[in-house]
Order: sequence, then structure tokens, then C-alpha cells
Amino acid sequence: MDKKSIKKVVLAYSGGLDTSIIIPWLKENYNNCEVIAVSGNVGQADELEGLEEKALKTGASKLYVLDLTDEYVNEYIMPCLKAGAIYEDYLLGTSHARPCIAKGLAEIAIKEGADAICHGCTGKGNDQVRFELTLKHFCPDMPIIAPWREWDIKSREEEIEYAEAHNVPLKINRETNYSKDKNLWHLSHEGLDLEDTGNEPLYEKAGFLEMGIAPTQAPDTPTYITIDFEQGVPVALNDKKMTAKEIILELNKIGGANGIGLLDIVENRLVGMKCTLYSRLPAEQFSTALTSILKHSALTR
Amino acid sequence: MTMHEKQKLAITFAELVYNGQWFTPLREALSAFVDKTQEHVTGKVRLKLYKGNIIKAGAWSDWSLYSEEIATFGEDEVYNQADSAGFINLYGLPIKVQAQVNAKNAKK
Repeated sequence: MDKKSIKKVVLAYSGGLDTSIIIPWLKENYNNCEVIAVSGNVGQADELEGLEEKALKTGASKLYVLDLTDEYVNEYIMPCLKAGAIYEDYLLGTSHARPCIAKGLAEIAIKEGADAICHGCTGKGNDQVRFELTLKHFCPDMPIIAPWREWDIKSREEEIEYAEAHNVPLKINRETNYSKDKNLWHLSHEGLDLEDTGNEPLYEKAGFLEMGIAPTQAPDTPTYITIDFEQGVPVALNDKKMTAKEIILELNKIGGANGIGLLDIVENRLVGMKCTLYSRLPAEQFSTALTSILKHSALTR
Repeated sequence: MTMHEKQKLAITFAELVYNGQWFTPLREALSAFVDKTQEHVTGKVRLKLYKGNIIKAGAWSDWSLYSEEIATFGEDEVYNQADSAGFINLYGLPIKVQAQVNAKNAKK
């Protein structure tokens, strides 16, 4: 990649710490280039509030917010649900959102005639691979900029210092600054106390769980629900016809209120290391229970 | 056969997704297989939610291959228990032949 030829960059933007400081960093290191921010909405609703103002204030020329929620449910989550695609201990949460977002990113980059696509994934994780493999599919010749593999910043602490030095607005609370990934299917936490496997996740602590309560705090009386499936896809909840997306959102609420969906695991990353992860996936746990009942009934041995 | 094959492929499918290989011919081919297996996964499930647990509380499907009439421990008229003798003789033939050959060689 000829650095001097980069004049316009499309950035996968979440408004979090990484992608916020990337905007001034790109301008500093890539010819004061135009930065077009793109957020793919896969159900992280509350994180999208005030995002445009923040992106523009940080130096982006504009922000696209792509509503990918229906596409994400119908073309990514449902195929995984039908496949029963369980990786180690869970039905995946971040993995199938990445190709969906990256596809949207590639489409904007092509439409805008961008010279490069930039993402904020670290060089230690899976997401850099998931993003870039999808980009290679949709725009095989597009240069990719991954600042975490280039810059001198080594930690989140240094990122915060960089942000402060470049007047990037931040909403950082250092105590609850887990590395999170949220979509309408799951919410995962990594980092801080969770990095020590000897620590119990603080399920009961106020403010830790965002999608419901801990089992120990759940009601003493059970809740009954019914779900109807057609050809492996949920079509009704408690006898009311709904889209799969609506059912997932509703199950997140009902499940969260009953302490369903907690997962505390060590998993094997593609890039070699094992990592610890706490995840909340209320709807996912229903799906596995449901499909295990139905698929046993409908398939020959 | 379908179900067991699907379970094996589910691991491959999950690895492909985890590893970022969504837009590949293999993932698409596996999805086509999966869709075929879902043609009759139609029905209703009732669940009981209690303090972090999901307890099965009933399942109904017009396509269910489960037959109470065949599986019952009571008297039935569709399953002839005498059929099992021939099935086991043929199914166990390789094991029996292996054991006989082992025994013959052990005497040498």
C-alpha cells in the first residue's frame, strides 16, 4: 500500500475508545485524509445514541448508521441456529455479526470510492480475521488499515492518554471499562477482573448485568412460555405471531428477568491463545433447548 | 442418519463461523444441507423458566418421528420382538468372526 495515495478512508466505527481515537490517528498518519465513519446496527441500540455528533466532533466527515438488524437475524443468526452451530460451549455471538457488518462496510467503501478500509480490531483477536476475510470477499483489492498492528499505543491506558491529548470526547469509567460486544443476540464482557479465572463474575453486583438479573435474584415462581417453529425458524411466542427478530428481543427480556443465559467460559481463539469471556445470551439458550427438542423429533437418526 | 451427520457437521459449521469463513463455498454448501434438514422442524415447544434454568414442559409436532405406539413399554402390535434376533446375528457377525479368528490364533 502506498501511504501517500490514501485520501479517503472508510472506518468501521462504534464510538468506543478504539475507533474514537483512530479518527485523529488516521488524519495524523495518512495525509490528513477524509474519514467516513460507518456503524452497523446489529442491535446495540443504546450505543448508537449521540453517535453522529460524536463522530463529527472527533473529525469524521460523516457517519453512516446502517440498520442491519433484519439482515443479521435472517441471514446470519437463523442459519447458525438451524445448523446448531455450537463453538466449544456456546452458539456464537460476535462471530456471525462480523461478516454482516463487514459486508455493509464494503458496500459503503465501494459506493464512496474509498482508498482504504480501517477497523479498530486488535492484533490479538479473532475479529480482525473475521472482518478482513469478509472484506477480501467483497472488495479483494481494497487496502486495509488496522491501527492496532501499526501504532505505538500498547494499552487502553495509553489510548485514554492519546484521546485526552487529542480532545476526543470519552465516557470512560475505568472500573467498569470491560471490553464489551453487544448485539441483539448477546452481550460479552472481557478484561479487568475477568482475566483472572480465579475470580467469580460479579453477577449480583448492581450495574454488572445489563440484560437481566442473576439466577439468585430471579422470581420464586416459574414463568411458562411457548414457542412455535416453522422449518427451524421461530414464528410465534405464546401463540402470538411475530418475526424472528421480535421473538429474540422478547426472549431476551423474559429470559433476562428469569436469570437465563449466563455463560462464563474459557475459549480457544483462532489466533492461538485461550481467552476468558463472560457472556449473556438469554435468547440463545432458549434456541438450543428448543431446537434440541424439535430436531430430535423431526430428523431420522 | 441425517441427525447424526448434522451433529458432526455442526462442529465444522461453528468453526467456519468462528474463524471468519462465512463467505465461502463450504459454509454455503453446509447451509444448503442444513436447510434441507429443517423442512419438517415445525411444531410447538413449552418451556418453564425458573432461576436461570430452562425446563422442558412439552413439545408437539405433526412431523414428529417419535411414536408412542412403537416406543411404549406396554403391549404393542407394530413391533415384533422376535425380529431382533436376526438383526443382532447379522449386525454382530463381524464381531463374532473376529473373536473366532483371535481364539484360533491364540491356540497356535
